[in-house]
Amino acid sequence: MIRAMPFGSTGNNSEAATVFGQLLPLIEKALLSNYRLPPREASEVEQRLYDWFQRFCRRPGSREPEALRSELLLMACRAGHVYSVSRLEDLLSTDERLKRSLTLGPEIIAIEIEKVLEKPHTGDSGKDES
Amino acid sequence: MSGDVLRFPAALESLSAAAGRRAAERALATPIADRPGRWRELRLEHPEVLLGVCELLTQRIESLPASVAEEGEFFYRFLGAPLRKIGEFDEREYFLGEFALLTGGAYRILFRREDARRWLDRAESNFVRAANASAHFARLAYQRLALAMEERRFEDVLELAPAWANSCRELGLLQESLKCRFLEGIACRETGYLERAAEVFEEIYEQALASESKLLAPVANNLAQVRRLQGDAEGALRFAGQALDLLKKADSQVGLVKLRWCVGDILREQGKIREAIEAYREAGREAESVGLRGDSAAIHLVLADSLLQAGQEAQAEWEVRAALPIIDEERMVPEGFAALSLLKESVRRRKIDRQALRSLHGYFRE
Repeated sequence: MIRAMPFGSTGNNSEAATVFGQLLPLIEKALLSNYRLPPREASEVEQRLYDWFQRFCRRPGSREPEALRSELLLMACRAGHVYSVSRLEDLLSTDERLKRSLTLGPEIIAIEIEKVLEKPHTGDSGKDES
Repeated sequence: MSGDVLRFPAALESLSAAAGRRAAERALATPIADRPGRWRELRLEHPEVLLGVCELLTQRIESLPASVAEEGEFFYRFLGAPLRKIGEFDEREYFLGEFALLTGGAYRILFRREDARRWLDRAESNFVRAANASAHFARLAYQRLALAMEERRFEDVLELAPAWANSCRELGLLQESLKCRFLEGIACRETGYLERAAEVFEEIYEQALASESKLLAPVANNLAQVRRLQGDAEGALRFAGQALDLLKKADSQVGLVKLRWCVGDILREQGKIREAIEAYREAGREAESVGLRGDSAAIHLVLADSLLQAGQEAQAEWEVRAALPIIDEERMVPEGFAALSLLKESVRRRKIDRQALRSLHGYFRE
């Protein structure tokens, strides 16, 4: 599902919004599939990521938004990771994909997702689509 | 355990970048003592406001370093309160790092080296947990190199500045890269490699001109100094004139102190001792008002030397007496200890040892 952009925005960096919009399908997929967030929670995290990314791009030392895609994906995976860890006991026993995502850690999952971005026709970022 | 869905914390109040900047101005206009009781109203926890505060403090650091140090310390302590939630994801760590970096940078400018080191360490301990940490480490590295320069560790600067300039360029930090090269140029000048220093500054000058960098003014200032050392007084005054306009436009009080000091040197070398003394006095007044104690001490010494040259021994002694407590308090120029002792002894005897005076103020020149 690709949500219409822009989000309810607090920032005003259109370049950052464009980059976020390009990555949103992957972020959403990661949150829903890799980290098993319920859709409503995933939407909230996406909104927060959007606001964060707007500010992140304006920090001293930040490059142009296009060059910060990896940081955005990594933060999305960290957010998913933290959320899922907090629900670990409920979910881990039944969900192999989640178990894999949490075992590998957000850094590895973000890299897997980024590889999908580089090869847009090769399919999913995880091993077992469910 | 139940399968209840965990809720993320409530969303932040929506605030545009422009509104954040206005709120930041309002926060900084509020006396520090009043802020803890009004933090909600001033929205001191809002990341958009904090981003605005960082931007404003960065703009002010060259003109009001003492105020920036005080503000940076306030925000660091405020944000560092246990359990205070700041923004999203890594924003708490980022802002703690940024305010510590600003505070460390301001203390460096103020020549409070131990404080600067402590704050830069604090910045590092927070940046390590923030996103894009390598870029922040590079910014931190520049501050540490600048501190090494203040401490006259020129070999360290000559070794590390080119390496960090390359790293910064690869990280996309073009201004930081130029700033590292700028330090390399100063270290070349201080170690007597004047031609190399001139080459480095000219390269930076071209790049700063092309990118409309704020570095243009200090580079012009340093080109003036290098030209002066190369015996090209005309070239030196030309660059000094350019630097003066740019520094006034940028309201860089720190840069103006250095420039007036440089102009005093040029005038003195041209034999215009009265004008030189006036330029030094102006530089000294500004250094004191900005809180640049290191520069203030050094200018007192160079002024004393000029006054001796002009036959005004009593005034020269007064200038030396004004410099000595600062040198002692700040534990400056450890490598000039012998000269310092000779100078103190000569002041006690009320007959200034001019050689000791010259040796000592030679240690100060950045």
